[in-house]
Amino acid sequence: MRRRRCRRAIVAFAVVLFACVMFGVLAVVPASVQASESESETSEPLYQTLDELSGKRFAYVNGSVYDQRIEERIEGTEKDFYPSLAECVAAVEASKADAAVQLSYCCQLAVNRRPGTVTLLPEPVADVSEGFFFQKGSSLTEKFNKLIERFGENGTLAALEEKWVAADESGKTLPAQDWDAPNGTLKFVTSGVIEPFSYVGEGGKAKGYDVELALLIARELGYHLKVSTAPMDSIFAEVDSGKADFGGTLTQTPERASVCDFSDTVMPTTISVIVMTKGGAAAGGDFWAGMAESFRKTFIEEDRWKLILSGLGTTVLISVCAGALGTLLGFGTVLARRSGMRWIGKLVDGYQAIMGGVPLVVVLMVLYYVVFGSISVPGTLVAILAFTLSFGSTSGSTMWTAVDGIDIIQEETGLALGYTRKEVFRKIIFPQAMQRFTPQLMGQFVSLVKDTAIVGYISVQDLTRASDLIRARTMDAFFPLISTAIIYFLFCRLLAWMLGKLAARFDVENRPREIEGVQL
Amino acid sequence: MSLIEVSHLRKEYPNITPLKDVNATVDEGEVISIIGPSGTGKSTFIRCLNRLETPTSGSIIVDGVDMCDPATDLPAMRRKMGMVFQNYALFGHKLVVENLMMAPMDLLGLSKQEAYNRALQLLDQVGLRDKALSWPHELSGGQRQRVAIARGLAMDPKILLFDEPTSALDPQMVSEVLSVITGLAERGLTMLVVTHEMRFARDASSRVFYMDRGELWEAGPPEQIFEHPLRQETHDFIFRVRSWKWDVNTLSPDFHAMEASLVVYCQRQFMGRHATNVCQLMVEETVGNQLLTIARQRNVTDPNIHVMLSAGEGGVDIILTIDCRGPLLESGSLMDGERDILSQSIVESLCERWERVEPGLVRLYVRG
Repeated sequence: MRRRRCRRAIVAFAVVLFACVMFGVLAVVPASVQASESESETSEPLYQTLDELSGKRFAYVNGSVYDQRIEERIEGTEKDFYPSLAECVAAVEASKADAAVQLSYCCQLAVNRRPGTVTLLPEPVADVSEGFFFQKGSSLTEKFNKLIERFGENGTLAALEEKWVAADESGKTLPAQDWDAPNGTLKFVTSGVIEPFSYVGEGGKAKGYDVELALLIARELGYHLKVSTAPMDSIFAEVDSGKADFGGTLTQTPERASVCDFSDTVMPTTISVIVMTKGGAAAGGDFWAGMAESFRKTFIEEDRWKLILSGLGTTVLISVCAGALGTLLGFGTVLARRSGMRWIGKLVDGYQAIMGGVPLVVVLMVLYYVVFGSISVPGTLVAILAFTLSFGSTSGSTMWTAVDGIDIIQEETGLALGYTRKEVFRKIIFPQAMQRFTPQLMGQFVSLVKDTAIVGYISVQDLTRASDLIRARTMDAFFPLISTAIIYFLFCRLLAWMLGKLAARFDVENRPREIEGVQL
Repeated sequence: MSLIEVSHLRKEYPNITPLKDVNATVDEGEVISIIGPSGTGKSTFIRCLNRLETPTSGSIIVDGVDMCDPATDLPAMRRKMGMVFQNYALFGHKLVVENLMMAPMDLLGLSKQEAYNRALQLLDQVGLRDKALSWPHELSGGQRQRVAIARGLAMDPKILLFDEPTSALDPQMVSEVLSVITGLAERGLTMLVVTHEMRFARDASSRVFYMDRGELWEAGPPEQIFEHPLRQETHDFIFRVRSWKWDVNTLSPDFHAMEASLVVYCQRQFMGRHATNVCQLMVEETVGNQLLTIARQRNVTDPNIHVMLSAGEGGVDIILTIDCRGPLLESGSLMDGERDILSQSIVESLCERWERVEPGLVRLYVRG
């Protein structure tokens, strides 16, 4: 009874703490908004030329090579890498970086969506060329190049460019794949965070200039196209390991060209630099109206709540499967340890040492890109496998600690009564150990739910990845992040509450003091 | 043929050999108390009998079956011989009555109703019928041990083994458990009891095994072992457990530790509250107030005083012997005029009579 009261107090404390943090955030943001309003009304850029930025801190997107182009022109810059341009812009707004660099079209979109806070340097800083890339020696490269050349000559590329950079969103749709595909399906991986080239639109589907071009090429070559998205740092691994047939688009560098073959340039373009305006932080306007707008953009526009919901579904699927299978695996390690055979015990020790000593995200990527590199396995399955291995290790050692902690006399008593060793474990040792490890195991399961936030690395669209993709569209870091935090928090609380109810039902201390089915 | 035949039993561990060469037979209906100093293989012996320990060599025949034969169905044999441990080990996830029902239902195929009826009957026997629906952790140590005994009986064994059943209990709980075991002895169950309770060994057992240093030194009826032991080792042990000793080798001895061990001894000997208090007061008076004061005055840093307390049957004939024939006597006479210092004042009024055996050695007789 006392334990329950104590647990309730802790939950209440956590909720209050969370509410305080939220209140703090909400209180600070409007204050800074108002401060900026009175200070300045100008939206002039803080810097006018690139030279003024020498020695400053730059924000780049993961996997980007534009840092080399900047460093060719000015000296002494420092650099940070972020998952997408949205975070880069947020870094500039928060003065964590002085400038963000990305393709000019992307920068223009970002600036349009954060009016007043950030703006562009007047001039683009360099020309770049982006291309698709393929596994070394792929026969596709040559075929792609021919088509890219033809599309350039017949004006297809120019039409595509005009379509995707237009202000009008309504025309930005992809053609249906209604053609015959005698050659099968090509798998195309793209980042999904570089609007207008590659981004996630209605229904969580990838679209953009790169995607449509890939579709047109696939049609000419007699293929259907299967599009998936992966974080910037993973798309090379996707193609290199054969998970995808081609990826893109990325800027070709000598280093990259040594790993993958690149197609010819699909669109000659420029890169630009985003800096803060003299005004500083976010432009004026009612804070609550701003929140409503953020809510609309994050959840309502393009039915993005569906993306969040399906992300949450994936998170739940992975954690529930991994939780169930991992518990079984953990139970298996306990049985293995009890077998008394020394080498099996060593094997379990080794497995638990590896899982305890290697970061889970590395295990996840090794499984996906190396172990299952050449086999076509859905990322969700690999994620379930990785988290099963991880949870099997932690749950196994939790269970073993409890089993090992049961007094040896309990076992001897069972043996002396005439039970076999297996029966003793099943009827005497394990039921008592279960009373001890259940609360801890439930806590570990709730942790597992949060740990699954890394599955985006292997192109699985869970809740966190869904929020990444939305942030890349709205260029608003604050609202989607806080929303994600709240969704995780509520879900974990709900889970903990349900597990608590379940555990209480199985707690022997709560059972009635009676023997069913006997008469006095 | 005897029920249990043990010959040349030996048990070795890498660095210790608790059993060297044990030979013993136990007949049906016998109640055997196994006594002896701590750490001399008593528990190992009894644990070998139901093969919780695997002997290094030798043979154990129980009811005609070789317990050391790999082909022997150990679980089946163990059902014939219940065991009660020092730490009761009730199953914490089961109600008291379920502790008694579990094994008979699983292993003997009793129906739930049969197991329940038998369990209640056994709980009644050990005086705990109204605790049937309690959790084990709600019971006192003595109650738990009685439940553990009933649980052993629920399997209807031929033999019941007890491994120091009262060692973990408070003194007042010892007697409630011992009376249950004594009751079983009268019913003809074959029992082997490892115990430090000499009174139980003497009164309730048909034979006593004295074990020391990995061997069975002497086996015989209680009168023989306790009154006329054949071997010197047995005699010394019996004498040791019957008496309490305290050596004072410093001018400021630990009186609290002395008092604690004295009280434990007195309780073991079933001495009354009054006699216990008297003994305690006399030791404090003679040693603390008189002899140590003299030692300080005479600058004797190591007084080397021996105090010994012994009690006869049932806590009567209590004799406190104080021996200061060492450095203290050598430093000068302990006579104060006509009277012995030790017999002065309070001491004289507390004891029944006293006797000066020789200079420096005094016996005080206490009323039981």
